[in-house]
Amino acid sequence: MIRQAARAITAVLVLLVAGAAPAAPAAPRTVAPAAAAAPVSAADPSARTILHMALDAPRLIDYEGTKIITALRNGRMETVTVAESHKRPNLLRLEYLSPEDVAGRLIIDDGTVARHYEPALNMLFEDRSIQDTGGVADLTLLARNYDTALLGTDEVIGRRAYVISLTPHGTGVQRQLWVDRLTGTVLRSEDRDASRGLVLTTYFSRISFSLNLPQAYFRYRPPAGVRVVSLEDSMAGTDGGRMSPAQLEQAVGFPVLVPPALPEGYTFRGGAVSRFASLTSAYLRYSDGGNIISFFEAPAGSIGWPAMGLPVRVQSQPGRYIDLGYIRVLKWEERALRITAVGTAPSETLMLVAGQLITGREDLTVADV
Amino acid sequence: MSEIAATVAIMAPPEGVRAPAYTAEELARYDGIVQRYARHVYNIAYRMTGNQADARDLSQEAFLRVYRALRRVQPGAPLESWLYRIVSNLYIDLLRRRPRARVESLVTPIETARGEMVREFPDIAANPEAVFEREHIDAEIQQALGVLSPELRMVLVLSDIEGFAYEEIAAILRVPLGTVKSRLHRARQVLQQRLRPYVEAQRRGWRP
Amino acid sequence: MNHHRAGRLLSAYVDGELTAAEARAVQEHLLDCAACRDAHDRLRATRDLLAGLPPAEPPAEFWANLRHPIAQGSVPSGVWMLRGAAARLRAAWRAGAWAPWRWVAVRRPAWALAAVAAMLMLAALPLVKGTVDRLHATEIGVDLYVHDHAMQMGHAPLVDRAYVGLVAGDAELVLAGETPRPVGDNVR
Repeated sequence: MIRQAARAITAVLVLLVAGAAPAAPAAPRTVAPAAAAAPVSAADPSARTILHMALDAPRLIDYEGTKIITALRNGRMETVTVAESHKRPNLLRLEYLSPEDVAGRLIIDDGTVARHYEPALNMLFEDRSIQDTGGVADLTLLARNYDTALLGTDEVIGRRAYVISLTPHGTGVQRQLWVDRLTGTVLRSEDRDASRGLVLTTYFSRISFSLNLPQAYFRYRPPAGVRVVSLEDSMAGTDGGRMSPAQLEQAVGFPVLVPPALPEGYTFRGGAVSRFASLTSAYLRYSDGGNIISFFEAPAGSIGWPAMGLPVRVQSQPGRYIDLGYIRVLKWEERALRITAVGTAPSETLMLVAGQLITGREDLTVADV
Repeated sequence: MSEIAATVAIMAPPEGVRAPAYTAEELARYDGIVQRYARHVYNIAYRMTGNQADARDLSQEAFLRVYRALRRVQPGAPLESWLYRIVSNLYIDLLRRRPRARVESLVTPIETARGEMVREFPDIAANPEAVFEREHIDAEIQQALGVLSPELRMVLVLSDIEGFAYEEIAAILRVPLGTVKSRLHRARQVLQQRLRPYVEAQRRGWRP
Repeated sequence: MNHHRAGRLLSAYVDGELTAAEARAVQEHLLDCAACRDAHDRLRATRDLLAGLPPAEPPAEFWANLRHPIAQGSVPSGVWMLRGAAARLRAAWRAGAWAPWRWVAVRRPAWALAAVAAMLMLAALPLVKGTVDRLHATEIGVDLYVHDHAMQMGHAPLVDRAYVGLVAGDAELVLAGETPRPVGDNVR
C-alpha cells in the first residue's frame, strides 16, 4: 500500500515556511477540471500519493485559519465564514463568524466529544465527535469507484498546491481538492453533483501553520446557566456504526431491510441504532468510498410524515423528496417501515438506490472489500 | 462598517496624510524605480523577516519613503545603497516594536532537550521529488537565516543572496569594510553548522 | 601566513575580496593545511547554497499597493502590527465576512492569549443539565436524520469538517425546538 510505504520513509527535518497569507480573500476563480495553472510533469507525485498526504496531514501539523464555505442550501448558495483551528492529531475548533444568524457558534471537538455552543441562546449541545470516522476511510472502495487524477498545480493564498480530482464512475459527488504542497492540508475544495454542478466550495482565505498551538485554545468552559442538550447517546453502543444486519435487527427489535450492495457502487458499510427521545431507528451506512448515503428505518407510526417536500413515487410507493441543497432527503413507506434516505446525490440516484433497497433483502455481514 | 472606520482611525497619524502633487513625469519616474528595485527590495525584506506579510509591509513602507522623497532623488541615480539601507533600518525598527515572542508566530519551534528546533515531515513518496527537496531546502535555509542576528543576516543577504561586493555592502550599511568581512565570515560559519547536511550535499555536487 | 590568520580570511578568499598579496599567501597556506582546505570548501558550499535560493515571490496584490501609494490613501508607517490586522479587516469586510463580534479583530491572531484567558475566566459553575423541550418524535421531520447523516459524513475521505459542523449544528438547533436558521441575505 502506498500509504504504508510513505510512512516508512524516514522523516525529513524541515521547516515549515510561514503560512501568513495575503489578506485578500477574493472568491477564487472557479477552475474547470482540466484548466489548472501548471501542467503535470513526470516529476510530480501521483494523485493517490497526494490523497494520502492530505489524509495524513491532520496528524502532522497544527494550523489556524479563516475558511469561507459556500454551500447550496434551499436553492441558493449560502456563504459562511468560519475561523478554523486544528491541533494534531484531532483537536478541532470552529468558530463561525458570518452570516449573522450563525455568528458566534463555537464547536470544539476533542476527537471524542464535540461541544457546540450557541451564544445567542446560551445553549450547549454535546454530541459525538464530528471527526469520529471510526476508522480508516474506505480507500479500496474509493479506488474502485472513483478516478483520482492530478490536474496540475495551482496557487492558493500564495502557497503552491496540487490540484487533484476524485471523479465517481457512477453519479455521485465529484470532488476537487487543492492540497498544499508543503503540509498536505486541503486549502480549497469544490464538490460537484452530477445534476446541479457546484454544490459546495470551501477555501482558506488565510492560514497559518504551526506545530504548537496552545492546548488551552481547545478547551471550553461554558458560561453559567447554560442549557445543555446531550445527543451523545443518539448512536451510543453501536460499535462505531459497524453493526451487522443481524445485530441491528436484534438491537432495534423490528425487521430491517439491508441489501449488501446498491447501484452506483454503494455498499453496506455498517449499521447503528439511532435513538432520539422515544424514537428508535435503524441506521444503515452505504458508501461508494467517496460519498455516503444514509438510510434510516423506523416502524411506520413511530415517526411523522414530513409536511414539506415533493410527493414522489418510489417503486410505486408514495414518498416525499426534499431538496435541502447539498443534502437531499427521500422518504417513503414500505412493509410497515418508514425509510429515509439522506445523502448528496442526484434525485435519480436516490430513487434508484431506494428502489433497490426495497427489493433486495439478504443476510450478510459487512463485506470486506 | 463603523467598526472598520474606528479601527482605521486609530492608526492614522495625527497630522494626517499630505499627498504631494506629482506630475505625470514624476509618477512615471517613481514607477521606473519600482520596476527596477521592487523585486530586490522584496527579496531582501523576505530573507530578513522570514515571512511574506512582514516582507510586504516592509517593502511597501520602503517605497512609500521613496515616493515621499521623490523630488530629492537624482533621476537615474543608483538607489541601492539608500533603498536597501532603508530596508535594513525598517527591519531593525520592526524588531524593536515587536515583543520578543512574536504573537503572530507563524512557526513556533518545539524545544527539545538540546534546545534545537526540530520539525518532522514524512517524505511523501518513495523517490524524493526534485520539487519537494528544493522547497524543503529553501525552508531550512530560511530558518537558519532566522537564527542569525539582524546585523549578520543583513550582510549575508546582501553578499550571498543579492551578490554585492564587500565595498558596496560597507557603503549600504555604513560600516567599515573590516566589519563586513568579519560579519560575513561569522554568518557563514553559523549557517554552515546549522545546515551541515545540505552543505555536505552541495560540496559533493549533489543537485536537489 | 599563520594558520589562524588564514582561517579568518577564508571567506574573503572565497569571494575574491583579498588583495593579490593576501590571496597568494592564503593559497600557499591551503596547499599545506588540510583543515583549512576543508573549511574553505565548506564556506564555498555554504555560499553556493545561499546563492541557489530562488528570489522570493511577492504576493499578487503587492504590485498594486506600490502604485502611487499616497494617492490610494494607504496609511503611512505607524504601528506595524496593526497594519496587517487592518488590511485583513478591510479584506474581510470586502468579502462580506464581517461579524457582529467586534472583538474578533482584536482576538486575531487566533491564539492571542488574551482571548483564551477570557474564556477560562468564565465562572466554572457546575453545569445544570436543564430539562430540554425536545420535539415529539412525530414532529421531528427530517432534521434528526440530517444530523445523524452529517455526523457520518466523516467516513468519506476529506469531507470538510467546518461544513459538517454547520449542518449538524443547524440540525441540533431544530431538534432542540429552536427556530431554524432562515436562508439569509448573503446568498447569491
